[in-house]
Amino acid sequence: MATIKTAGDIETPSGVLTPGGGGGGGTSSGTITLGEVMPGPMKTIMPAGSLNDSGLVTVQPNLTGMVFVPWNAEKSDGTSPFNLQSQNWVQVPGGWGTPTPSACINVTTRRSHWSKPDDPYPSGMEVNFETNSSRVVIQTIAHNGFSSSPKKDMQAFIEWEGKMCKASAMPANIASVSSGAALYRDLTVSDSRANREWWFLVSAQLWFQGVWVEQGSVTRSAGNRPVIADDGDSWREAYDGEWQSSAGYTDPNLSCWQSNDSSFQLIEETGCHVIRHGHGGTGYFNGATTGVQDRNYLSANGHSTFMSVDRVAGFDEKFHSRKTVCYICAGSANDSTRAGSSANMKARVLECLDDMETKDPDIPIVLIGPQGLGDPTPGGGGGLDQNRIGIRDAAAEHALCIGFIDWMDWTDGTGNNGSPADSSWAQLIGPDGLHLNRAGVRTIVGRVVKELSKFEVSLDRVNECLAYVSLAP
Amino acid sequence: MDPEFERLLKENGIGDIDPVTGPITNPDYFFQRWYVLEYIKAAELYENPEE
Repeated sequence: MATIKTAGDIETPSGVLTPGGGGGGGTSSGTITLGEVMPGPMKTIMPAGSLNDSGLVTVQPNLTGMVFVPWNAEKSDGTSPFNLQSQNWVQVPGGWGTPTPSACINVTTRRSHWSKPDDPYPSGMEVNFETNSSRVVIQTIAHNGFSSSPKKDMQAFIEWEGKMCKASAMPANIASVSSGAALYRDLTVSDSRANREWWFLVSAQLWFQGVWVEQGSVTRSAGNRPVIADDGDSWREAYDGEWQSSAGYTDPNLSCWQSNDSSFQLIEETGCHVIRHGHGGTGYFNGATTGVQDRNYLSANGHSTFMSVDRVAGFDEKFHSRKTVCYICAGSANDSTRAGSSANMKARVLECLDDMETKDPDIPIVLIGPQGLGDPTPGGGGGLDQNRIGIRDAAAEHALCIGFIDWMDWTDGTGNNGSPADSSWAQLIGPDGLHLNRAGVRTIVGRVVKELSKFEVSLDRVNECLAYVSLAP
Repeated sequence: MDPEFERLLKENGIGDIDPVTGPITNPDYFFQRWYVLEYIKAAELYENPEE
């Protein structure tokens, strides 16, 4: 029987940290819990009959009476009609299509790919805006990018009676589409009330071109929301939804959805925008290669260790002005025995946090320990346990840290893709044996948010985050 | 194999490790598995650059 352990079962339970009032805590403005900051989960499905949804289609819908709002549209005051709080949209590079189309990708890290070191590594994308058009058609170009996967999917949230609702329980998907094909989703709500918010979660394998809205309607950036940065390994990878591509969409729980991976689930659970900043294969001592790397290591394709010199600088360069209400750094099993001891891990994490502090002295940070991959035993003294203790102790000591989450013992067992049946881990890990399937995403991220909600940040920080202005890219 | 691609793989450690099929007692099992999966993906793409 699968077992999900409660916090009481954990040897060193996750805890709210208050040393030094991290994340700007202790300021004159007072503090607020992240649970109070979060706008709230977006899990309700649009009521029956309220929405006409084409799903993802390759045939262009009839666009008579519609007007196109391109991804790089600029309003007269220089702002974008899209909310870009967590985004870094750039024109797709030359050579990505013939001729290169006007379309964008979301580039949130400095990563490129082993076989294409000069090209940026796209991330999943949020397309968020407000319009009084009752019909919206989102236009994208499908591409296989850095994967051979032909499948694509997209989730959409739509404001309905003041609440953000999911267009469908599962993301719209298409099992196979040619690379380079146009891909649309045509949505019409059944009433025509004034402005409503639309929020698409778009796979990294789709280049965003723009949205079609009814002529005469007004489109503008949706109101700001708190922003969470999501950093770590391939579980928070900018591109991680492709990992279980071979699973197709046959089983909604055992499959993996590109638009419903860990970072996108964080959006659904919190109602916050999320900056995707993970690097696959990395940890505090692992820069996605063999051996042990220091904080200055940088591979040819931009891989480096957690909060490395380059990653901290890259985050600062792209996202400093966003004033995230929380910066999560999660994991990693990739460190295995590389740290050598808890003391070494603690020292490395503290070094990372000090570097973060030089860039943003008020950034509220939450550290999450190594995953339970391979069923390590908390307190058992293995490499991952040593790492867990080192990360935990660093979090307890550093003023920036507002919390530590220990998820090592949330599950039991090993295996993947539902086998063996008595392993909770096997129910949550996809066919590649490494990454969360949809059930895993929902279970693990849901629980992370439950812990996250307890941590406190300063009201000043929240206000700074909400003051961001989305300028046209 | 293209020398440039070979260089990139070598720079990233491919060739220094074996694809892992062994027991999970290997402490680096998960990272090495990730590595091999990534290697395969990169190799497939290199074979089909228009993908």
